[in-house]
Amino acid sequence: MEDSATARHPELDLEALGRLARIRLRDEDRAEFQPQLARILGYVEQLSRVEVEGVEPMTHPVPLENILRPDRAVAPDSREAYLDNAPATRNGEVIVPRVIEE
Amino acid sequence: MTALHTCTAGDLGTLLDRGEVGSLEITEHLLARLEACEPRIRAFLSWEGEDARARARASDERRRRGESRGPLEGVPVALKDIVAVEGQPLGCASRILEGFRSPYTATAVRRLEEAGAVVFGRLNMDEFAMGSSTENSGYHPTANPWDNRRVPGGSSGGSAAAVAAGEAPIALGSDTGGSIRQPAAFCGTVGLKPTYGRISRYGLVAFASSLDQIGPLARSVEDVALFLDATCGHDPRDSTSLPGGPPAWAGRLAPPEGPLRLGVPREFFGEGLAPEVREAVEKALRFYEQAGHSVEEVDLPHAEYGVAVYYIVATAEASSNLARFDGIRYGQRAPGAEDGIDLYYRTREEGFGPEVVRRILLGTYVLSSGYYDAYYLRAQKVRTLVQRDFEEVFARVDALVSPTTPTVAFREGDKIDDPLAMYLNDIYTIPANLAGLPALSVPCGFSPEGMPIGLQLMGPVLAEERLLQLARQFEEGHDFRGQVAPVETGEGRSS
Repeated sequence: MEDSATARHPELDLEALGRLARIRLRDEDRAEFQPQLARILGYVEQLSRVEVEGVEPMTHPVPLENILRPDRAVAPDSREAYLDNAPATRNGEVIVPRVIEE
Repeated sequence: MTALHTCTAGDLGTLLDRGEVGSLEITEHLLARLEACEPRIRAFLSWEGEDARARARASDERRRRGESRGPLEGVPVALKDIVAVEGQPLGCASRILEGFRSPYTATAVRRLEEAGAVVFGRLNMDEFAMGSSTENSGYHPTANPWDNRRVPGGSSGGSAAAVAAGEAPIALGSDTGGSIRQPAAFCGTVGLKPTYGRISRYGLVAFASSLDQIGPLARSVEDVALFLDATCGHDPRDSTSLPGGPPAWAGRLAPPEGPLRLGVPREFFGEGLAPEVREAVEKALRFYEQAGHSVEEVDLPHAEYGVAVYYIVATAEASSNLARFDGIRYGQRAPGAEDGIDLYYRTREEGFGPEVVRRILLGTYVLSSGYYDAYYLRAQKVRTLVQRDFEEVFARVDALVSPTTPTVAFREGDKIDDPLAMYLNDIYTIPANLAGLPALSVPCGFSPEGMPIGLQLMGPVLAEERLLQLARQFEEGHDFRGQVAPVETGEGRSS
């Protein structure tokens, strides 16, 4: 079953998916995930059998109107409390590794 | 006096009102019960006893001043590790959030506080609520109090186990595809997922935003209603929250007026349903018939696609929601990164467990360029068809009755290596999430091995009151109300 499902999803390129999701995948991770994901994708394939011509995609189960709240200023959340959770801060700013090449 | 840990919240409220016991005494008793049970059950990731005692003392003080805030005044309510409580740890049982403390309090928790409840603890769960056994916790598994070799279900497995073991009368849970009802069924408790939008999601860590709902697990229908009365109602901080104020369902639990038409979805009794579960549910249907309701078979032809729709919609939304965990602004940051992008890769690899990675990859795939229409858009359309099935059926019947799960609680390790088999455990609970409907699980029997069985009641949107009344009627005709699992504690077998 794994093999036929994988064959239907040759495009399941875990290397590329890991890049898109910004998760480093080791060889052993890929070996584990590849057949599992192929099998799950093989299972969801059954949706191609459903006639969906002219069907609207669902958004909220209960029809809701957009209600604007009163335009009143509220006290902002504490900057310190949020910064306390950052792994590295200095002078009220979050410190990150270099992102721009010299 | 009966042992306080076996009391429901309703019972505790009566004792408190009569002045026979104080909130501090209840809280001390539950903390002692928790210490005795936890070595075996491990329902909690952590708890702060002093904070709970301080809240209990404040409640006793209010009561002394004649300022009781209502029926939950002084009643302990334990919290799943997925809702924010200002200044307290919040981790979704994930290593990536290790050390995080909430800068604010979730609306549902704030409303429990405003109702006088003593909120405490961080209950174990599958990491980011992804799982059906609590084995995906980044810390440790939780045991089913009825048989410690079995799982409590998930993702709210800690919530269900704590309630079943008598560590808390009520626990907050969250339900994206069955994460309240399935563990409630596995642990012999009541659990309810409200209509989507009933309880504010502000301060609930997002997994799949169009499906997530907060709800209660408890040992009686009345306690479930008490939780809902305190927490439901519009919140301007959640744009998907429904209009309207808080309900008052706990006082309206008499049997439903007049006979109701109950539907039995044929699709929920097919292959894979264990005989002991089928038998218990059929017995429950006979109970409802004898109580004067009519029972008829109905069809939900698209329900069979529920799991497939779910694993596209939920993973797509999860991959988007979990993009925020990048090691920059909060949570864990992996050491040794060469640059900003490398920091993302390392942090997310180290911080997320395998099931979370699987779902992020799957969600990334179904949303990726060229596949969006084939997967996500198609799934959202089939979701509309699932919802239409329910609308057609609810034009003819008042509520649907089914099993909550195909089997009783399975053994630890049984499904952890087979993600698809694990997903299929939620086959009966997922459709209500897809359609946004209220649904509850109420205990309805035991397997020959002594494991609890859950009966699921589903209703049209906003029909919580009817479901509560039907569940209460069932509860009154049986002996499952208030049941506490026999847990081996330090002092030997007790209950």
